[in-house]
Amino acid sequence: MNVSSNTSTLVSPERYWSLLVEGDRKGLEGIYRCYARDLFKFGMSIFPDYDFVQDCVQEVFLDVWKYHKSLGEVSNSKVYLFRTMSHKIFKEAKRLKKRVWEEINEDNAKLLYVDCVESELVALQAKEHLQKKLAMALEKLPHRQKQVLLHLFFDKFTYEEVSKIMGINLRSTYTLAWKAIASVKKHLLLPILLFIG
Amino acid sequence: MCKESYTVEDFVLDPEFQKWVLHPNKESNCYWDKFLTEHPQFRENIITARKLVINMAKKTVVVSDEQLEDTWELINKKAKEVSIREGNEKVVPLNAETTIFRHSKVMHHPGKGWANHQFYKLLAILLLTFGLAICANLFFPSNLPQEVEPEAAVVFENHIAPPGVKSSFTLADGSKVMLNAGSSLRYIKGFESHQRVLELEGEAFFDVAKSPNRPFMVKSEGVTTTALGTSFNIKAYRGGTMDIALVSGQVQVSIPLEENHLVSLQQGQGIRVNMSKKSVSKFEFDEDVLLAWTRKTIVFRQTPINEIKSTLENWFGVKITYVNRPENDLEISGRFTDQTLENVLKGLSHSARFDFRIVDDQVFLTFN
Repeated sequence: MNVSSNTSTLVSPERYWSLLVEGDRKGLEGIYRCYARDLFKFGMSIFPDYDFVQDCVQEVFLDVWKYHKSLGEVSNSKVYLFRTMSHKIFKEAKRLKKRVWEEINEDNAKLLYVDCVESELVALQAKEHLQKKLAMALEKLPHRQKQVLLHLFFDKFTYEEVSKIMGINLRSTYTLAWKAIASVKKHLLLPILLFIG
Repeated sequence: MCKESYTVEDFVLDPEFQKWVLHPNKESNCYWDKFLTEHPQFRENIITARKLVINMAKKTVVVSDEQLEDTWELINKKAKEVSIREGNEKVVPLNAETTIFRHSKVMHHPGKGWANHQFYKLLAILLLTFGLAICANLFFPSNLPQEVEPEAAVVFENHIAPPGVKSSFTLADGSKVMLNAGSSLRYIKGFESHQRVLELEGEAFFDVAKSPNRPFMVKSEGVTTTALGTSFNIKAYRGGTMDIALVSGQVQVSIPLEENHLVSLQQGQGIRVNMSKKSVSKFEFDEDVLLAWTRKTIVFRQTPINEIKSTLENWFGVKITYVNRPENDLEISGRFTDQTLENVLKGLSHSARFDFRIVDDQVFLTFN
C-alpha cells in the first residue's frame, strides 16, 4: 500500500497548515487528508487497537483545531502532529494500563501484514522470510526503541525530527536506535546460523 | 567522514549508507566502492548491515479508506462544536431589530416632539411609582422586616476565590481575611451573637479582631482552630495535608482523631494534620515563606516539580501538562513577586531546563 495514495492534492501541506492557523476548517481537513493515514499507521504499529488509535487521532486533530491560533510558529507540521500523537498514545496507554501490543495473537494476525522499506529497486534481493523475521524482532522491542525505528525507517524522519517528536536529545535518539538495531540484528543472525549449521 | 570504528549498527543507522543501499546512484556507488577497497575489514559488517536495511519490515494493521472517512466525520462534527462555542463568547452582533430601531431614530429626528412626548410619559410613570411607594411606607409602617429577621440569621455568606484569583476582605466583626486562589470560606452572615464560626476549604490568612466573648473558630475537614485575637494561616486544600500556622497571639486546635486532640500553638509554630493518615506533627515555619502568598510572592525552596506544578496551576488558574516526564527528584528554588506566568516560567526554565509553551489557559512543559 502506498502511503501517499490519498494525498492526491495540488495544495501543499504547508498551505493547508496556514489555512488552519487562520481558523479555516478546510485547512484542518487538508491536513487530515495529508497525514491521517500515516498517523494511523504509526499508532497501529505501537498499539494494534483500532478504537484506541482512532480516539488518539481524533484528539490530535481536535487539539490542533482548538489551539490553531498558536500554531503559527510550528515550523514542521508533520513533526508537530507525530509528536502530539506520540504523546497522546503513551499518555492514554498509561492511563488505561493498556493491554499492550505484545498480545497480538493468532486471531488478529490476519489483520497484520508486513510493511517493508520502500525502494525503486525491484531486484533488491529482499527475502520474505527475513522480512518476517525482522518484523517479529521489531515487535519484541521495548516501545521507545520500536518507535525510533518506525520513525527512522518508515516515516522517513531525520534524527533531528525524531528527537523532537520523542522529546529526547539527538545523542539519546541515536543511542536508542543503536540499541534497537543491535537487538534486531541478533534476531536476523541467530536462526541463519542454525539453518546453515 | 570517520567510519574507522563503525559497527554493523552504525552502518545501518547511517543515512548515507541507507541511501546507497536503497537508492543507489553513480556517486554513492563510487564512494562505497572506494571505502571497501580501502577498508576490506568492513566487508562482513557492510553485508550484514545491507541485509538489515533491505529487509527492515514492520507489522501493520490496514486502515481502510472508510475508517479514515468515518474518523474525519467525527473530527469535523466536534470541530464545528468548538467553533460554535468560541463564536458565542465573542460580541453578539446587532440583530435586525436593533438596526431598524437605529434607523427609525434617525428618521424621526426632525420631529423631536414625538421623542419628548415619550420621555415625559416615562417620567410621569416613574414619579407615580416612587410616590406610591413613599406613601405606602408612611401609612403602613409594616412589621415586615421583623418577620424577615429570624430567617436572615441563617443566611450564609460564601466567599469564593477561584484558581488564579486571590481575594481579601474584612468580616462584619472587623477581622481581616485574605483568601488564596482556589479557596472558599463560608459563614453565617453577621455571625451568631456568641461565636464566630467559619468553614474553610483551601488556604486563608486570618487577622482576628479581638472580641473575648465571641471565639473565632475556623473549621476545615473536621479540624477546628479557635482564636481570640490573633493572626494565623490555614492551608487545607482538598486532598492535601492541613497546615495551621500561628503568626501572632494564641490559638487552640481541636483535631477529631481518636480522643479529641487539643493542641495549643505558640507564636511561630505550626501544626500539620494528615486526616487520611491520621497523623499530627508540629513544625517551625519561616513567616516570610509561609505568608509570601499574601504579598503576591511565590517562593519555592527546593520544591519538588509536582508541587510547583500544582502551585502554579492554582496561582494563575491554568492547566499545566508535561510533554515528557521530568526527572522524579527534580527540585527547584525561586522567588517571584507580582510576576506574570510567563516570567515565572522563564525564571524556572533556566534552572530546571525545560521549554514551555502557553496556549490560552494551558501550559506545556518540555524537559530537556
